[in-house]
Amino acid sequence: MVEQPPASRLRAAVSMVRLAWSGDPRRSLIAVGLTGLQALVASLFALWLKLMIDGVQAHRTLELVLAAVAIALSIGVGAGLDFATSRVRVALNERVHHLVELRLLEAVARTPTLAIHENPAHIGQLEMLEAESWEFGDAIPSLVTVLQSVIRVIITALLLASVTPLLLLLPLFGLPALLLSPITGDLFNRGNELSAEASRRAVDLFELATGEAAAKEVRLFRLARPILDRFHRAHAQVRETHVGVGIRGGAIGLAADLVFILGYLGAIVLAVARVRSGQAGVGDVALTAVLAGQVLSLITGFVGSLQWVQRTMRACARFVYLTDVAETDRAGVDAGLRVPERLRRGIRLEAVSYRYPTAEEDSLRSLDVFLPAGSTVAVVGENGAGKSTLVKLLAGLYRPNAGSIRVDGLDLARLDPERWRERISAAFQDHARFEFAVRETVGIGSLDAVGDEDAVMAALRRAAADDVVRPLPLGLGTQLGSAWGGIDLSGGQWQKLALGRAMMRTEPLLLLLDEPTAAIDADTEHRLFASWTDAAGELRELTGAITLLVSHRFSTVRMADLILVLRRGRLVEQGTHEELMGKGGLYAELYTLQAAAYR
Amino acid sequence: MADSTIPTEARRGRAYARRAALALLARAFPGRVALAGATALLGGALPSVFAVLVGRLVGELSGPATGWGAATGTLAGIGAVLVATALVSSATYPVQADLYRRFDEHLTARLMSAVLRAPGLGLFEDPEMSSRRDAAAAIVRFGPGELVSGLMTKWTAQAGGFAAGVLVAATLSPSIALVLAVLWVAAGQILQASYYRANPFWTDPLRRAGYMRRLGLMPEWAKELRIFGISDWVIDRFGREWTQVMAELWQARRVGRLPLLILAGLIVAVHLGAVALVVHSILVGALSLGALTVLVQGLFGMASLASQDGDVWVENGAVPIPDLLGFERGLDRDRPRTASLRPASALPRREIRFEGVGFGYPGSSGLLFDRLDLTIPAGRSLAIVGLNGAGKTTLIKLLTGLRRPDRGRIAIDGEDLRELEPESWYRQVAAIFQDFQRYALTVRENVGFGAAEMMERPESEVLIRRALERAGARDLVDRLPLGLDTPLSRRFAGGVDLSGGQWQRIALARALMAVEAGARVLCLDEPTAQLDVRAEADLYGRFLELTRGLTTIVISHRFSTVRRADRIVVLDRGRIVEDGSHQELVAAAGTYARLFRRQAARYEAASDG
Repeated sequence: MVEQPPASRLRAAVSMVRLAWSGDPRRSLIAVGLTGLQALVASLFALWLKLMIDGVQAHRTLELVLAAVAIALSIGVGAGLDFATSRVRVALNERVHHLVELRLLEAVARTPTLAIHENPAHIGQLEMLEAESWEFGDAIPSLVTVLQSVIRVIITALLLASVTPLLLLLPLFGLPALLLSPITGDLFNRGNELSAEASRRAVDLFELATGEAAAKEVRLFRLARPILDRFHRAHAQVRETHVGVGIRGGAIGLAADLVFILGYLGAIVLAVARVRSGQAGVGDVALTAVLAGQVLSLITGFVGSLQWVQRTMRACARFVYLTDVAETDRAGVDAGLRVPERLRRGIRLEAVSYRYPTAEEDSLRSLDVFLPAGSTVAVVGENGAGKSTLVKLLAGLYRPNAGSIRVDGLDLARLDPERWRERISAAFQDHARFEFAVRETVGIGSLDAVGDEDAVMAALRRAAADDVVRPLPLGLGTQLGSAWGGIDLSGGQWQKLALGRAMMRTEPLLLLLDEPTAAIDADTEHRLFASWTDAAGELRELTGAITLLVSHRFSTVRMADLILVLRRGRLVEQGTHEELMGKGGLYAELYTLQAAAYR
Repeated sequence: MADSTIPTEARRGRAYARRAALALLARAFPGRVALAGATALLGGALPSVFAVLVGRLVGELSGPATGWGAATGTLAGIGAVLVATALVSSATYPVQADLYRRFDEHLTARLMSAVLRAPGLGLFEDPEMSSRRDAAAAIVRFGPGELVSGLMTKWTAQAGGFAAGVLVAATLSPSIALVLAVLWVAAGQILQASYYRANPFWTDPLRRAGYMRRLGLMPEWAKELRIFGISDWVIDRFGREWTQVMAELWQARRVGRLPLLILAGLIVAVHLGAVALVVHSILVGALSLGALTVLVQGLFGMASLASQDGDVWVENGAVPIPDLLGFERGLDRDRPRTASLRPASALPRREIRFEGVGFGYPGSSGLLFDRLDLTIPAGRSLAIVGLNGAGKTTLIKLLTGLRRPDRGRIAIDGEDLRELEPESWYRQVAAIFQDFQRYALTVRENVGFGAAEMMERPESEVLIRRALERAGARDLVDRLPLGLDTPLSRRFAGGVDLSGGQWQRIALARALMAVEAGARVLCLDEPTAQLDVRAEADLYGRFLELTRGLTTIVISHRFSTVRRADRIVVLDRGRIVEDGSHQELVAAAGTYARLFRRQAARYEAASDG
């Protein structure tokens, strides 16, 4: 499903080298130096052997002894170099990998809208990159391996040429291996992509079987067998794909190797013929046999590292793609525009439409509405009416596809989203669970006050959530999440903390409450909204703040100054409770339906 | 904190872990392990065969010129060895990939079925058992299949080194070969300080950094990350956590310079001694040119005895194995006897009774229920009302048998729930929980899971459709591109994402599927929290029809839901404080009446306006 990353190879290559280099320039240099030496030591081994044989045949004892010493040294030095290089590589890998993760995190987390998270194409690239990020760490090592292969090929070629220049034809027989390399590389990538969905399924099923979230249902509904069956099926699919690809890749590689072996045998026959005709010594045959044998592993090694480079490039292309998304997302922002200190008029939506990427219908269609400064606004509508979309648009998490949102006349699309969001706050039904100490879980609602226990307690009280903290063993210092040796909370308790987080900002221009009280009983919700409305009344004078609440509970909704009724992406009614009841439309119908429970 | 992250007893446990892992691998896949071993050994030994043939060629050529005869045979041999090498190398990947995947699957499935076999929720809710489960689950994070790639790499290197040693022994001297072998193996051991490269040694300490990374990358946190402007805060923490752990790790991996130098000196010295002997043997004519050629290649080849290639993978795969085995053993020990249990089919006919039930979660202070007495007559509906944290969901867990009371008993028609076969009782119970599961599978599976035993039968389709219909989800499914076979996740081809309300209907259909398949008890834990007004009203308009003949227990904050039940109990701090029908409780003017009136007043005021 996920296509090639749409970014140019050149940009990918440049970003790869730059990233790899900035991960650790000193070690990168050391790696290059060590690998060069390693290549030299390894290639000269056949030469020492030849010199020994020549020394014996010509009875030149000094040459024999020197070559023998060279062999002893190159074994010792070679082992040392191997060790050192592998250590440097690991060190490089870890640092570069970390750097890439950091850059990726920056690119994604600093993207102002939810574009990366909601567009399947972007999600696909992000998921693949996540899985591949280790390959990034090998960017420099794989480049260095390519370099090493090049050095060894050159030295080997020189040595072979010293026997007879005809032997320089030998690498030609390695051409098939070289040319087929991209094909096998693609084959393996296809294999990964083909099995991606089945792998994902296997991970999901593992989670179902071993995670806490599904534990109750899995037992009650006796899902052990169905889960394990599906798990084995998914795994078999992954395995068959990989083994199939491996066999095909292996067959291609074998064909290429056989071509080379022909050339190799030709080379030895040539060397033997020259010995027989007296044009070369026995040492040359040993040299040819050993060196030419290495040419094959040199070529396959070279091909292997080329494939690594290719894979790293692919990962880099994904990286470039995602940073581009992040960049485009910022386009149009006017850094000079300031968010107003207080709202004087209000927020006006003009012909605002929004459609989810890949959706066939608009979630919001041509919405015209004015939210007056200092008002409390309630949004009602059935599931899928577009309520949450409206909230996300107001928060700058989505950009309208058409129309504009104006805050006291300023176009929200041109305001720096981060500055706008410094002046708003929000709580959602699908709140995030931040598994920190309670102090931080709530305090991050206003980073300036994250360590301020009084501010955190005050926010919790405003959210009627202080009862969550009271029984906790270490109070605000209690760690949340059993994964960290902390406490597990119930869904309702987490929701209350999310509300507390939203209350950390004391003077927002816009407070967005998207069904944040669904798990809380109606009475508490009512009292919370009443107290926020009071607080909003005070803020009204100060900042002209608007509070926008999405709720299914009409007993709360009716308190709002303005009620918006959405239906399938359109605003069908608006007004106060009394006005809407008088109209006898959708609102009145839904209200009466709910009120019936209390008659 | 400084040295707590890297386990110090790691060295000791490693050898045991490797043995255990290898034994497990060999027992599970004896034939495939043999094949993998043979491939690795061949791959390691062939270079030495090649060396011998090259030596023979050199020997034949250095003798008196005798035409091509002998040399042709040797050349053909060299060709054959090269072809064999190429064959082995192209077979290695498929052989390895196959075993890798199988072993991975085998271990993961073992862990899964161990967890799945544990009947209650203790593995998830008791801190001590939960941490054992976490430790065992770590096996998956480290890629258990890596053991296979590691072993094959390691075996190839060892076989290569050993074969090279044979060459040295045959051409120079067995004792020198032995000294060299010992030296190389020792060098490998000393340099192995870098075994801290393996995942299990640092992945865990890096979990916090990983968590920060997920906060920044994953959709669950994306909205609030942006709303509260904490991206940079998260990024900064990620960097700091990583740096701290890695600094320790790098410290632990350090190999002293002195031992390195001594080792290098020793290796060079022994080799100098060996080549001195070589030169001497040549000069006295005791070593032919052919033998020399073989010997030199052997000396070079022996170095791979010190090779650490593959070690990291072996450790990745092996280190977590003992945790898995211990986890399995522990669960087997704790498993309750099942022989004397009775089936629960067609229960309850009369009632479900809580008799003096006491229960508290391990690790939390105090009991949630002290002495709870409650009788639920069969075939009627009961609503449970109470504030957050009153123990409503726990009551459902006890009733379904997912948790066992600490004291007292739950009797089904007089039979203690402990004496009934758990699976058989589960079959009598249908439930939708507040935190119902959203399976990233097809609609068919999401609903069909309500009656897992029926899924493969042809009549299941009819039942699934009926359950969807009754849950008010038929229109929803009719609109889906692939109907019942639409995956409910956009992460799968052709999949769609549902809204909260739509998911709730699917989950309700799952519970009703269980009813279709014969369940007689229906537990509804906030079944409408995410439905909109109309859907909720529709569902409760049909409440009586849906629950007819069933023993129904419903938990809800919504009075529209609660008041339709035959009977309502108010739960407060683990005790039942009020008990009666809606009318009775309203008349009794207690907690229930107060909560109801307060809500009602808010609507009544409206109807005036």
